[in-house]
Amino acid sequence: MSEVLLQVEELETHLFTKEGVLKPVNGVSFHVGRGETVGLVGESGCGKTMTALSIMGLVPNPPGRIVGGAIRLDGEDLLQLDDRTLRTRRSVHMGMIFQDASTALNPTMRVGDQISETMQRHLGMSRGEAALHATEILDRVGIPAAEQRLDDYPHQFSGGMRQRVMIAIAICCNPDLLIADEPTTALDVTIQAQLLDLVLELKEDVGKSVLWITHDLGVVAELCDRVMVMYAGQVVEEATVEELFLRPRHPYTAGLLDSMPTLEERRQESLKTIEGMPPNMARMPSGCAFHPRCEYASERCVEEAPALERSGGDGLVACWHPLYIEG
Amino acid sequence: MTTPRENGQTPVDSEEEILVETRELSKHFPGPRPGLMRRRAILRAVEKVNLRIRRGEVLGLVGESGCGKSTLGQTILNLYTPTSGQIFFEGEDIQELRMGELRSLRRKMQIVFQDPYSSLDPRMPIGQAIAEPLVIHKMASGSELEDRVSELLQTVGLNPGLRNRYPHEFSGGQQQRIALARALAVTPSFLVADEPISSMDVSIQGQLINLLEKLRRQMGLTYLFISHDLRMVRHIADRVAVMYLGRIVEIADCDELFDNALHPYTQALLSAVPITDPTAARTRKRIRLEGDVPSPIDLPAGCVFQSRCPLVQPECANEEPELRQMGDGHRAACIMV
Repeated sequence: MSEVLLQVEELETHLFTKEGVLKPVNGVSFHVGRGETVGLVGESGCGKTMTALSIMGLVPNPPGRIVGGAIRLDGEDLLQLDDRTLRTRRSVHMGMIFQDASTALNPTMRVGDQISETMQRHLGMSRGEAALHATEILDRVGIPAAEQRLDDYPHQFSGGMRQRVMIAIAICCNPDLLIADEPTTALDVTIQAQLLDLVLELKEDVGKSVLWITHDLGVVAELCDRVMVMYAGQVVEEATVEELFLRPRHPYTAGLLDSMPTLEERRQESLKTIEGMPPNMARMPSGCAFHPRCEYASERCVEEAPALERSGGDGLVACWHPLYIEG
Repeated sequence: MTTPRENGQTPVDSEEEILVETRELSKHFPGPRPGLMRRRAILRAVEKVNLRIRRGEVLGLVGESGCGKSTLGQTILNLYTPTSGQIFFEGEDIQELRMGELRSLRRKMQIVFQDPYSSLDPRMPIGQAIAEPLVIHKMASGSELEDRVSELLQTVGLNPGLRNRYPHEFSGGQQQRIALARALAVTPSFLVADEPISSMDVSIQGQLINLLEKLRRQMGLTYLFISHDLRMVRHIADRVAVMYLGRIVEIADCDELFDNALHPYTQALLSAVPITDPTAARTRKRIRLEGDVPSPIDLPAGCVFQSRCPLVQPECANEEPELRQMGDGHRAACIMV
């Protein structure tokens, strides 16, 4: 197994609201190996974005706060660091790509300056050095005529190109870990395909680790080595990408896979669906959070929450009645 | 209705009734003014579209954002006034109709939008929102109206007891069901579904698609299903039309289009969709399109796809290719196929 770069242990991030304490990240554990691309999959509100923000130290406070667990980068617990050290670690060792580039970039600042600023601050480069380097990076992420575009503002770029600018900012300090939160969701498929290719290239060239957060299992199949499936603030299944698509163990994962039509063949019958809706975080069901929607739910599922445990192969599953397991 | 003559198109079977038809339909918008004294540019959102939708079928309309698919859908319903061209509904040219006639026709053509919340009045209880079209078209009143609303809520899978609630009390998927109930209230025969599932989670999307299919069977509806989700279009559509920069570049039966796409744009579009088989995903060859979709203002002469086309030839700049018949109902607009 590859060397572990990021280790998240029993992470708990809570939101303290008027309605009470919400637990978008409720005891999440996983790791990302060096050079590995790991997918974090789930539907809206499952806590995947909050998990990413926790790792980056960007949880909006108030109302959010990390209340428990550890986030180790190269063995060092980020939650124990003071703000200043954390900021350096974060920008030099981790880069984040957000879903919406138009809100993540500063609209009043030239793109070149936004890239160089980061390098001047964190890598101690001079203005000239940083500008030179910025051109290289823009070129690297596939922006044509990079040198001329340094002086452009974000609104002068198309959606796909803005997303490339954000990738440029995320990688300019040469981080070990790239966290991407639905970076292609708002883009058209042909542009998404260009960006997926770019990330695959970056990954192959420099052996970066990537944590890719998405709701699209298709993107996971294209890109990831390993996948975690999140539901209602918890990881419910973890497996290699091949194993997950071939033999999903958790009924929720199986339901997600079944509810997606495929491009390759037409299914004549109606689509399989998961009945009901993801739970409201303020009123979480007892026991396993998935039990109200689960066709295999038993009394035990209502009473007791299952832990994430070995599922026969290399994978992990949190379910009392996992699929594809004998006995 | 007379069979229109189009280039290279064989007459349709008399058994297949055409419900909606467009002839050379265009919708242009004024573009940005390049300078104070210069002429305003023209944005050609829909350009000379010939389309026929058969009664009872689901026609999928696919393409990337800005290709004009939503504009086409709304122009067909006369929500936008066409710049030129004709729209026929049940054989009648809808632009020739008088106001009163148009209103009664409107009853038969309905639309559901991508964002159900913004298409519902936030201050109107949902029961009232569903009753409103029935009142406007004088189709029911009193207790009959109440019954009809309950029935509609049941049809879309919602509890009629929730009729006095407001839109914000429902989830996105439920709001879309409410919008659907409102559209179906006036018993339309044709429904434009403009990206109806794009804002929903995967597990909810399937529920709505199954509902649309059930309603189609039960009520004999015809759909124009506009979507960028090619996987879902493959599931629901009988025929599929592909749009690029305001033009239909390819149209065929669903399986034929997905298995045997001819236009290089369609091929690239299909190959860009992530597939859900990790092993196949890693071994297949993707056709990579460089660059972005060009602006629909000031397009060069010739084929609109030439700037990104992997098969581009010098001839492509000469004239715009027409949709040509390539085989049983399969048409493509490309000189290279």
